[in-house]
Amino acid sequence: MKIPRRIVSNLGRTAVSAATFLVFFVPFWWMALTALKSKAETLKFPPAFWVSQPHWENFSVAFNAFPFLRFLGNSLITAGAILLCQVITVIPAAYAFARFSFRGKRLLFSLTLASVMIPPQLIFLPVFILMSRLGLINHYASLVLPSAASAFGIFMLSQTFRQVPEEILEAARLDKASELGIILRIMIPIARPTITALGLLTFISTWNDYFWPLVLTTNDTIRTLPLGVASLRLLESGISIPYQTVMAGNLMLIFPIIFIFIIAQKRIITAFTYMGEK
Amino acid sequence: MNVRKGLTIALLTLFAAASVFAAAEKEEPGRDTSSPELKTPTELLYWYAYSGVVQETNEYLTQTFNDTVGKEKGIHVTAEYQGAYNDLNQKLQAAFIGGTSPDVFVMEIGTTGMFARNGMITELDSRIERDNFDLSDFQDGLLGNCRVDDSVYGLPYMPSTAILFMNTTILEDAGLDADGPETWDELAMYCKTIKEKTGLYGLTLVSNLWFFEAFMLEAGTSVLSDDELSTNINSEAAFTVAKFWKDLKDAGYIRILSSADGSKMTADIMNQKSAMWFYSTAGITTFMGLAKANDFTMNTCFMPKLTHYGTSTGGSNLVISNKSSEQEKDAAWEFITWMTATGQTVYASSKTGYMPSRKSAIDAPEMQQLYAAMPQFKVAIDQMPYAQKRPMNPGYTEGGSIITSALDAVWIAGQDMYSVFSEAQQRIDRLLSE
Repeated sequence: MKIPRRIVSNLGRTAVSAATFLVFFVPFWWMALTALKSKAETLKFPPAFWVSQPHWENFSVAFNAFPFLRFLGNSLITAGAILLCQVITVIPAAYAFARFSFRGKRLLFSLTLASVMIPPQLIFLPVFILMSRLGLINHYASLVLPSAASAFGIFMLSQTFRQVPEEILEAARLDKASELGIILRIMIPIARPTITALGLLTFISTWNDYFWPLVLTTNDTIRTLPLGVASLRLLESGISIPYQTVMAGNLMLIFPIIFIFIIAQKRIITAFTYMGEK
Repeated sequence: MNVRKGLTIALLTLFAAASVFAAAEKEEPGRDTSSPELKTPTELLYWYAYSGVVQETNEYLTQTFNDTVGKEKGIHVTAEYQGAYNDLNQKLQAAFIGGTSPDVFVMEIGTTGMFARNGMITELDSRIERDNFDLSDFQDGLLGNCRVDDSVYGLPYMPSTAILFMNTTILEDAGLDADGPETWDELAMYCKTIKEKTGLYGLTLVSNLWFFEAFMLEAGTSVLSDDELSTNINSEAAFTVAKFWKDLKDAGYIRILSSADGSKMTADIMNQKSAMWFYSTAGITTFMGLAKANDFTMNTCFMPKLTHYGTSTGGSNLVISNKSSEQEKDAAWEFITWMTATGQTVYASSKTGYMPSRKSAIDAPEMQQLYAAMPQFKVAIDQMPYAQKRPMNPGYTEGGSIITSALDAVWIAGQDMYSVFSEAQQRIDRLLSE
């Protein structure tokens, strides 16, 4: 008997979806599970995929191991300030690259794109020295300034701005709209899905950033949440890693991101769909 | 619409929180870097690399200093945590270049030489002489890593050595003496008996540089030559050491974990899959807690001898930055001498399980009580005369990781030790002579 092609392709699709789901879901499941285990359970072999007695105290241990609220506040301030700075720098820059022709535009755009390719590890020492000379070590500015503009954001947004029909801009200029007015009243509303997606990506990458806060802070004043969570590894003086506490800390760390992602999921998908349509 | 509303609320909350924290931030007093006027206390910045109970102890001692001697002499110390020793060392290097270095810091004993020779830390000889400061009360084995080119650069603080830990419940099940093996032959016999009688591993070994340094001492040599300009890794002694553990592993009597998997050792101990393990004396408190929680008894003993007893020292020294002003250096000297004084040593040792760095601390009634109640702590003290300093040649930082990789290659990957050690020797010797 021949199996209809439709059923085969449906089965295949389900299998691939299920495999993809597992690849993404299992690590999350594992993290949540480990956060509820006792230390003995985390070290047990073979490992258990279920906990009968959840150890909620892991969360309070993680919460009390470092100044959690202070670090959380620092993370919010840093991510919020970077977001604000990027709105101010990225939108005008993207507009200029997308809609104006000026001398050296190609070169400047290439340079902007090239900066995406420089790993932070390569430039952290000069940045650190610069920040120390400016007296900004352990000030929020040292965490915000290196990320105040985003080459990736400029690139992504200028692609969207390029798609706006020239006629609309000409009509606006005939009505004596200023360039700022064009940005505010035409460009931003049209590019809203892209801007939202960009904002979220910036927020997520800033929120998760470990490297810059690690190298640019020397005390708890401006240390961010990922540093605190990472420090949980050494809670037992390095003799063993308290995975249950580390995972409880991680869950608390990613909670805001999951929350924001759930409310904004649709917009992110829309933005990336637009980007692909050229 | 709902999405937008949700986002707006989220953003508003974010900025509200941001402004609250920003306001809180402003009220916090910044560190005064301008030169202090008379009567204002000398501000010292102190960086350390301890976590857990050691961190608490260190913070407590710093606070006590500020409240007592510091108050009296006009010195205020701010202690700041910088991560593990490696993180601290990297931050120190960046801070020295950036001009934001701390006045006092903790130094993993093996790196003291590098920082001293690079002129980053202050020699203490002049102050030792000026104050008639008595060094002879410190354990002799610990001072080796404080001296660089005949000058003293640090005072021992939170020192440790390697010892052998035993799950005596398993040992007794196998009909073995709970006092532990004294020689390598006995150790091999222990491992064989445990495997045969209980089916468990005799020992879980982490392929680790620090233990290897101790094994080399026990084989009557050391990992580097006396002048630290060449390595002994391509020698008969090194082959004996490597082969001894490899044979036990191949026979199935012990388990060897690669250096990267070192943290898995605790799983073997908690699950009681293994009867013995090497670790720093700093782990005694933690392991006793594990033993209690998992219902077994635990003992410690000397690192067994091949031809000699031997163990390498670990832990840290307190050192003073060379970039600080003379006034700050004097204040820092007050601080580190207080932190390493007998009373504080007794407190730190009984709280953390780190060894007392001073001989006088051992005789203190608190310590004697502790040793009577928990003889596991006493082993480290008795073993101290056999402890040797760690190599201090700056090239050894990288050379050490070459040794670790070589041990992984021989013990874990099963590569030929003669070729692995010979190649490692050439690379290390080049680094040491640079």
